[in-house]
Order: sequence, then C-alpha cells, then structure tokens
Amino acid sequence: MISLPRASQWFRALAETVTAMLICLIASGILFLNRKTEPDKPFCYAGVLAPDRGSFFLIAESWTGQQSKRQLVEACDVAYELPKFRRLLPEIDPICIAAEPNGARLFVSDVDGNVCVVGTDSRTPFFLGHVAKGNACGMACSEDGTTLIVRDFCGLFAWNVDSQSNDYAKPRWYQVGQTLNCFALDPNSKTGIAVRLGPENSELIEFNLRTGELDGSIGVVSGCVHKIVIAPNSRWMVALQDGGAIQLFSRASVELPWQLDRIAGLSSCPSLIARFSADSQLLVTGSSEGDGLIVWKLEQQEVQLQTNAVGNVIVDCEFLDSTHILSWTNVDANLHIWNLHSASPEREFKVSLP
Amino acid sequence: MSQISTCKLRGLFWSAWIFILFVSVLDGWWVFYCQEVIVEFERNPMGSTLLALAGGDVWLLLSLKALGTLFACTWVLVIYRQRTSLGLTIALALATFQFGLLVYLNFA
Repeated sequence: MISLPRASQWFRALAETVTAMLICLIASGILFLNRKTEPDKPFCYAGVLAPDRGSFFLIAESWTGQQSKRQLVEACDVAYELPKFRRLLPEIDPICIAAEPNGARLFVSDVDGNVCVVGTDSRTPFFLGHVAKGNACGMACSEDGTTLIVRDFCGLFAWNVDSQSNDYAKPRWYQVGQTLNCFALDPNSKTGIAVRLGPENSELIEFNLRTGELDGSIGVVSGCVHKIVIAPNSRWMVALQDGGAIQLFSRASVELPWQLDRIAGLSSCPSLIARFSADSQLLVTGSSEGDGLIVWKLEQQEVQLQTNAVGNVIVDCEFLDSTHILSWTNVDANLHIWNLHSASPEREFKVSLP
Repeated sequence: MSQISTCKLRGLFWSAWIFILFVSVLDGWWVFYCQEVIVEFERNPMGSTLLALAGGDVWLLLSLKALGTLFACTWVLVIYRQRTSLGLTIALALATFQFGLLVYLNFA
C-alpha cells in the first residue's frame, strides 16, 4: 500500500526531475548541434527551361535528417555568372513539371495528382484538375500553348490551356485503359506519338492532340521504350529503351511512317537523355556511364563532341542556345553549362536552396 | 551483500529513470528539428491531433510532451521512494518502451 506522499516529497522529486531534464536537454542538444543544421545537399531530378526568359525551373529534393522535402526552385539568369535561386509555390509538393514552349507558363503536378498552371511572371497557381490514378508521370504542352497532355498510370489526359479560349482550363479528352508508357508531341501542335507497351515490344501510335483519337500505329520497336523525343523539324525522332539503348528514326516526308535509322555507335545511356537542338541538326545523348554528354551531328551521323565526365549522373539537359547546353546532375544538384566546342564545362554552379 | 544488491538496484533505477528522460527529450529535439515536415511523418495519433490543434505548429505538442515527461518522471521517483520494487518495475517498463522508441526514431 502506498501512502499519500507529502508535498515536500513531490517538490523534491519535481526539482530533481527538472534538474535532470535540463541536463538531458543540454546533453541531447549538443548531439543535435553537432549535426548539420543546414539541410543536406539537394537531389535534383527534374527541370525545365523557360526559353527567352533565362529561367530554369527544377524540382529539388532536400534531406533534413531522415526527412525529405521536395520543392520547386527557380534559377534566374542561368546564362550569367551568378544565377539567383528562389523557391516557388511552397504550398505544392511538386513531382512533375513542364514549361510552355514560349516560356510564359509553367505546369506543375504534385504528389496527389493535382495539376496546376503558373504564370512565370505572376507566380500564382491556377488549379486545372487532377489525374485519375496516382501522380503525373509526364507532362508536355503543345508548341502553340493550347493543349497540355499529362500522363498518369492509367493513360493520357488533355486540358485546354488556351487562355484565349472560352473552354480554358477544361479537360479536352482522356485516353485510359491503354498501357501508354510515354509520349511526345509533334511540333505541328496537331498530333503526338504515344508508346503502347506489348509483351515484347513497343508500338508507336499517333494520336490527335485535339480529340485524343488514336490514328494508328506508325511502327513497332522491340523492347520497352521509356522515352521518345521528336525533333523540332519533325524529321527525326529518338526512342530510348530499356537499359538505355537509343534508336533514331527519320521520315523523308510527312506522309511516310517513321523509318528506323541507326547511327553507328549511338551510345546507350542509363539516364534517358535525348535533346535536339532548335535547328534539329544536333542530338545530345548521355554517355554510356551517364556522367557525360555526347553531341551528334545528325546529317553526317557522326559525333561532334564527347564531354568529360562530371562525377555524377546527368539527369537531363537543355539547349540554352545554338552553342550552349545546360545540364544538371542528380545527387549533388550541380548545373553545368557546356560550350559545344569544348569537352569541359564552361561554368558550373550548385543549386542553392533558398 | 545486501548493501551491494541495494546499491545495484539503486543504480539500475537511476539509469532507467535518466534513460526515460533522455529519450523523451531526444524525441522532443527530433520534433523541433523536423518541425517543417513533422505533420506528414508523425505516427502517434495523439501527436497528430495536437499538431492539428496547433495548426501544424509544434509548440503545443512540445509543451504537453515536456509536461507529461515531468509528471511521469516525478511520479516514478515518488513511487520509488515509497516502494522501491514497484518504482523500479515501473521505471524498467517505461525504459523498455523508451528503448523501442529510440530504435524506431533512429532506424525506422
């Protein structure tokens, strides 16, 4: 049987507990002060360039202790010596981004599958809608800026993003129930190409951007195609496959289907990089190790330049102009600017999170 | 012999008692350190409720956590001084629970 303790016993015990708690607070505080108080280096895994505006938007994931946090960061003046970084839309947990080809708007999807549009000047998000299942895995805006195509785990969704239209921000169509693995939009803003996965091969299907109708197969590629990119002049198309294999297609005229056109020695790249220059004369792919870039001259089908390795895997790249490429790496979130005449980066800077 | 045994038991109690306090304070530091993302990662329903009540801020959770720790440790100390075996049993049970929490915090 415990007798009721006297007040003095309580006060004594309380005083001892408070003292011990303060000692613990200081001791464990020292443990935490010895930790890095700044977040660890960010991990960069997606980025888009807003052309003519000098801004580069990227999704960076930073780690604090064991917790990760994604944020949308704008790197302003990337073409200059000291780019400025600022955080955008702190209320959004971004997972996928795309830019309007003229750079005026940015499309952002979050982990809950919500899709919104943001003016790169106003920076105020406008909610468009959400995808059917999970989150968006890919987004692209048509060249004329009127249609946004979003891919989720179910299929493709299209929104009218023509700000002049009465149907602005309304869904245009959806294509679900198809195992569409990736897609690319033609520069004509009328058609796109989606990849439907089969058991052993991938079928390339043309679809109508306005209606979503599948216009038919344009070819079958063996293996699984993870990414396709169409050149700005619509003459070339590149497909990136399982294991990083790269295949180039060409078409002699608009009527003809794509013909597989292998460039001898076209490297395989684990990071699925393929970018065409604005004049469609050059194609940039990743090196076989993934930590460098290879620039191909398409007409001559030869390598123009192979860059030195940068230490970490290059996630993706974009042409800044006809002679400069911006690339970004994953684990250290470094941005590199390459001159197409030099194998080493012309400039290099780290993403610094605001 | 009896004195040695009493001395060992006393050492065991104070070790368990200070361990309970230390892990609780350490957990508080974690909450403070991860306050920006704690809403997403808090697994304790009571903790989540307190975070929701404070609009996502950690001050309410930390305040009540500190008060709860103070009360529990004071109470264990008072019991130990009145009935050593019962106080030791409670302290060891709480220390075992806190050890589980420490493992979860660091490895889960």
